[in-house]
Amino acid sequence: MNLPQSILHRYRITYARLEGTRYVGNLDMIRLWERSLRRAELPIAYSQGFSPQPRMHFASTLPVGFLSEMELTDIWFTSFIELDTLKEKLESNLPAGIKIRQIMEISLSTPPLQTQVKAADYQVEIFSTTLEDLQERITSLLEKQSIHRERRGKPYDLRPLIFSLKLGDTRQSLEMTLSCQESATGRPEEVLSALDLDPLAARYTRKTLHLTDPRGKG
Amino acid sequence: MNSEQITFSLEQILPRVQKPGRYVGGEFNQVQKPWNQVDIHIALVFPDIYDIGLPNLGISILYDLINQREDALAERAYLPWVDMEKEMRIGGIPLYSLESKTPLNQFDVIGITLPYETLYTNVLNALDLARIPLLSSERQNHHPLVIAGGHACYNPEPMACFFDAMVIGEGEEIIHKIIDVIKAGKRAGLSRDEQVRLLSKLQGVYVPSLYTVTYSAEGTIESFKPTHKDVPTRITRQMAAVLPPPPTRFLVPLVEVIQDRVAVEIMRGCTRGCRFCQAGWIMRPVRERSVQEILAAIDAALKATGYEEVALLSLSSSDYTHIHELVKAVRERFSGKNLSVALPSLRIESFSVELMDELQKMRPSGGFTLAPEAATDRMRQIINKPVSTEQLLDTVRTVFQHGWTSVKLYFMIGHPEETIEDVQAIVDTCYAVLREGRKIAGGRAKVHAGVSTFIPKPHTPFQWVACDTIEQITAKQEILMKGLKNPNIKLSWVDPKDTLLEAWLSRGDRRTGEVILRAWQNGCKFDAWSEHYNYNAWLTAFDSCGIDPFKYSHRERSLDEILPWSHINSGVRTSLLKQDYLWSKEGKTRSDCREHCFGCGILTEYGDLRLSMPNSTWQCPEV
Repeated sequence: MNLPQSILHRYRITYARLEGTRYVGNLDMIRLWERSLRRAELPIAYSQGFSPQPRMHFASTLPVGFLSEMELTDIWFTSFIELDTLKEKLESNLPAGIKIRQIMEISLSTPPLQTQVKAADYQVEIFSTTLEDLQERITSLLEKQSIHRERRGKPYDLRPLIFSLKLGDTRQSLEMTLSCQESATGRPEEVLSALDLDPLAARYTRKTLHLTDPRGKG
Repeated sequence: MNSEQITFSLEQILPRVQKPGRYVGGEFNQVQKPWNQVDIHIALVFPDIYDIGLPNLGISILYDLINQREDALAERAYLPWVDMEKEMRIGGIPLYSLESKTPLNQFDVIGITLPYETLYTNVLNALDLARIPLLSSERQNHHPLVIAGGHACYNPEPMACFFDAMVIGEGEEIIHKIIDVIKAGKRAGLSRDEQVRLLSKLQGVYVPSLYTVTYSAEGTIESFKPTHKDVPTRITRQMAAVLPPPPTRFLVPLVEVIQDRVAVEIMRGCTRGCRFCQAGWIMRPVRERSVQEILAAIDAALKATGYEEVALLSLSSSDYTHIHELVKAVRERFSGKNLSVALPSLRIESFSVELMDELQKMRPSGGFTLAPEAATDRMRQIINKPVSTEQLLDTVRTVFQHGWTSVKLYFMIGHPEETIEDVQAIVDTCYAVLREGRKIAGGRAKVHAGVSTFIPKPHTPFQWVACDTIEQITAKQEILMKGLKNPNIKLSWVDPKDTLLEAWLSRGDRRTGEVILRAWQNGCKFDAWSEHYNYNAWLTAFDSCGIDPFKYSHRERSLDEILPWSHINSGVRTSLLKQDYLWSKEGKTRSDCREHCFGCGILTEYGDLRLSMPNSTWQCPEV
């Protein structure tokens, strides 16, 4: 940026992703936000260069097909906007599949959002028939010291990425907290596979993104 | 299945398919109306996948116009890609509309656009997935009326048996008349037959079932007649005297599609009269939008969409009367807003340094495209695109001087009376252009030659001529491939088998319908996709119908025979097309008809229309 830092403002937007944006991938989300901001005629801070990009950070990629009750995006503007005005403009220009929960202005010196995320909570509703032995499968999975799995041809250990895993309110759902850092991301589909469940036959909802380690390890 | 069941099933199958965002709608500006609050429900279908279909301007215009009515709604459907089709067939999910997830067979009207011929088998696949009988004759009163529109309808015969009605010409006004007729008919409880009979009375609406064809022993058309006295013998194309306001509330997709941008048509029609160009002959007269209207439309569309690119569309942008004023105004008004502007279809000869100066300021992206179409003066006279090689090189020099390093040149092989020398000249021209580029841009200069193969299209002066054979095309392409082996020249060409299918489907007659049905039954679909196109399956389909496809593509037709599309009146007199064809054989060119009226027929055919619009912006000279 060649703009003086003093005129930039950084906002952190907390929002839910509903059915309408469930199948939107990460690159498409960036374009979706840019177009929404352009429709709202907000003073987007663009990067320099041959093809300027809006200055935005996304906390953590939401896999295609997931719903979310908590997503985080930081956006930089070239002037201050009243929070209420911003909320109103965003609400009328975002597609129906995004619901704003909270907006706050944050310090420009806050570290990049993607480095702040530590963990994520997921709720997974399972489509297959009632599983009488699901609790047993969970118990035996958690008893393991390591869970060897492979993703995109790379072997890794899933076990340390699972912070917690339990049955949900019904026998048809799971609740889990997984590590969610750039180099150590636990994927709930992988947990289902490790439980010997069809990862495609489920509805995933990200419930929370934790910016501090939920196990209290800072 | 009803819409709730479809929604439920989609959740089960979408995780299993590529790019599931294609199948759920939810675009910004999508219109969703309560089903029971309107009288007429229309599903607009683009018969290819979402990524290709969403940006279609024809569908965008109709979607906007229909949804502005209080008594009608328009929803959309596209073809599922093969992975999704498989899941839909296994799961028993019918083709549904994206907006309300309603099965297509619940609509009153299915409107299918046919912008090009290689979509024909997809139409059958769409109807099959929608559980609508493929043949118009097999549909019952409770089935939707299946109506076609788009440029391929100018030869409606190959697809005639699959449609209840086909719209010839521009859709903006006729769509309202069609809805009015269907709405009144629905209220009166009319049968399908009664409905289509009433539709046939609208100018521009062709109802194939109301005509019979007989053939001679040689297989040519002997007669083509309406079955009733009150059905018109010829169908005159529908045309708007003044272009209606352009759409601005474009659907903004949530997933990536091709040509993801605002598109504003700056004018319609072309006065140049290139003999190979169907669009130039069937979209007359030239009607321009004012600079003010275009600017207002861009402004409104950007506010409504947030797009970062605008395309200013026409058949020949540099012929737009106020092109300088427009480009300058666009740049001034939208500069600093991270907006890129695309102005395709610039003509070599109507292009000035001032225009180039303006274009340069508008974030030129990629290469610069020009379409000489042929490389010798003789050939360009035959096709009536009389630019000289010097003009081309002058323009190219200016392009390179303005900072572009890559030039794309469109050529065609297979023009009537083309010789090997004419093909070799394409090679020589590419090198001449590259040399100009090297003088200015040095080693960065690149030339991309896009060489397609000529197909004689209906309603053009070349409609009687024959296509090159596969052997001729292959021989010509070899000259290009050998000649253009250079790291700074890229050559792209069209597989001759693709060209032939397009030729058969665009030049076919009513008997081709059965072939299309067989081909689809043999598994043909997505014929425009090289990975799906199956030439041999098509040959088998022709063979099983006892039809020689090469007679459609390689037989020169006699000037007095009844052509499959003779009953379609584009407004241009057949006698003028004949004269122009004969002129081509003499190497005689016809100048831009803005300068001199040749009496193409438009002013006679649509005289009343012009008189009713005293301030119309037709670019025809006074006669």
